[in-house]
Amino acid sequence: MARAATTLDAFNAIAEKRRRDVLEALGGRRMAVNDLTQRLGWPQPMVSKHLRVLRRVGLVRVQRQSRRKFYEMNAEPLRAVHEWTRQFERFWTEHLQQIKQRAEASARAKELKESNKPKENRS
Amino acid sequence: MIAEQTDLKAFQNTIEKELEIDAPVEAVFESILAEMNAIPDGSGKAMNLKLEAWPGGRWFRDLGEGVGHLWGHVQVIKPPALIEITGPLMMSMPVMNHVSYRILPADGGGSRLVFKHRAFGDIDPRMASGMNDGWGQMLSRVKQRAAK
Repeated sequence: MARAATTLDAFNAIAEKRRRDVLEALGGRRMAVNDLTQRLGWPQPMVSKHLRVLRRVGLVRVQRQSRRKFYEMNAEPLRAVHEWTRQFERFWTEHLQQIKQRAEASARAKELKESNKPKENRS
Repeated sequence: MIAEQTDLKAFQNTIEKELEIDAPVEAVFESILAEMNAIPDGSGKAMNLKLEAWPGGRWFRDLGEGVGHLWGHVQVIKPPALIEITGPLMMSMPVMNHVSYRILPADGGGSRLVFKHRAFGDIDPRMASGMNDGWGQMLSRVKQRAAK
């Protein structure tokens, strides 16, 4: 079975943990391959390979400064991932608030019922 | 080759939430089951969700006459402490979700609800973005209803 191309879109690209590690290492910084290699502790060809994939899907941008290349993250292609998460966040927040309201109303109703019960005469 | 299939086209994500609830764990557990049956659709009407609250039970949208959508199955149920669901939820995509509601006793007779939703699968980013409008409409209707 042929596997999906890792350069198809941002989802594919970040399905590989090492590429997520590269993005995390970059964060909001501009870094040269050597700095990234040092930070990640991986061989330089491995870092370059993952940077290539991330560049193809637009998650990483490169800038040349004299003879050096600097890489930085471009978060825009992750917008779809972010949107997905945001929608579920909202959905679950609403759902959990309903659970909270129902449980607290039920507990208050039970307390009220208990307090209205006639007291037993123990004398 | 198995090695080739480990690099699947896959999206994965986790959403975690914790909530303090001023009610005992039993009341929270019952409320979770009730609310799992009461989630509204885009128009604010109940979606006719049904939860079969036993191991392997279905959580599904029952539209009658054999029509509907399976949201998942009960993976674990331990009243009043835990319920876990695995399934596609409302997504018509090759995707798997694991949803857990864990209820812990808190000080003063209250409870702490620990909620976790983990998802992975082949989610089309265009569909993910499209969900934005659907949920946006649903939420604005909820807000309108609440304001009445």
